[in-house]
Amino acid sequence: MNDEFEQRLARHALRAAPPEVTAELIAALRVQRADTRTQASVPRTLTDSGDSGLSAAVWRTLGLLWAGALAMLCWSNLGLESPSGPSIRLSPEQVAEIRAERAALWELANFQESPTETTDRTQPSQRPPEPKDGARPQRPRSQRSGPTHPILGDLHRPRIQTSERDAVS
Amino acid sequence: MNWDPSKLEDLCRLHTPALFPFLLNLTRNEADTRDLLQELFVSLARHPDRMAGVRVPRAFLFRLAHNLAMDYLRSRNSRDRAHEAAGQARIDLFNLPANPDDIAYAEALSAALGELPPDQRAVVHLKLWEGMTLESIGQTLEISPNTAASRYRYGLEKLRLLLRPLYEQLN
Repeated sequence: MNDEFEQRLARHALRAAPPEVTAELIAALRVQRADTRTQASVPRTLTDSGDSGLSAAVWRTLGLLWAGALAMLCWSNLGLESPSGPSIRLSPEQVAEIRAERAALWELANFQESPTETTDRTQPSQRPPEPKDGARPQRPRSQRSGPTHPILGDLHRPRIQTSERDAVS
Repeated sequence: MNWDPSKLEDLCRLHTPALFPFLLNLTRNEADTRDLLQELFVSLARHPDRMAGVRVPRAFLFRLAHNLAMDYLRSRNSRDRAHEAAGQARIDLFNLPANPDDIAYAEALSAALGELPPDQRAVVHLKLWEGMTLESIGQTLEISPNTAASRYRYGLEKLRLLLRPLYEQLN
């Protein structure tokens, strides 16, 4: 059955391509070939790098050289030194002079000591007792509210806890 | 094996008569078939190296045509369903015979082929009207011979179902 059916189907002849289809294809192929020849006749240097005769490798090398020269120029003008270069070394006299200037500045600002150099110089007997059972350490009452700082105002004061504020009011 | 680009025109003249109905059967649209044919040959003209090493140009051209048609069908399906519906319209896939019964059968066959999935349609076309073996169809479409055989069997079965009423009526 299948053989007969297949034969019957295959007996129908397919419609051939219209003549103009082949003619259009041939014409398109000739146009394409003409384009290819035109492109092939253009000097290769023009097609490789736009309107210049230099190749891409030469342009890349020139770019790297230019960037290197620019970096050197910036480096020398800004006085930058590489991390591995000589470091600044101060003599003990210079260090002492700088410390004296800094202390004078702190004194001028009405600070007793530099916050960065804060050390507990009180005697152990004068220190407040250590908190027990994880309780928050309490500062002396006199340190909670002092006179207004001439420069910082009230900003240098420690924050008053809510319970303390309520107690004050 | 070097390929002479000047041979492309000869290939075009020789194989377009077979490639045209093959693409027409897949796309179901004559204008799109012409576009795909032109795309196929112009692409080969731009990249003549693709033909280098090809032993059977006819099979290679059918493979290119099939791939182009499948890409076209995928893009058309996702792009425009209305266009796909228009593609199902009646096309003149066969030469109209002199016998009126054969004319009716040819038109019914053309419509029934349009009902097959494109994969089955391609295998049925190459087997029935190009006379290829299932093995060479597999090589052409880059599928296994078993896959080609099953697609042919399913396709033929569906054609038989669709054409049976007319077949029994004519006999």
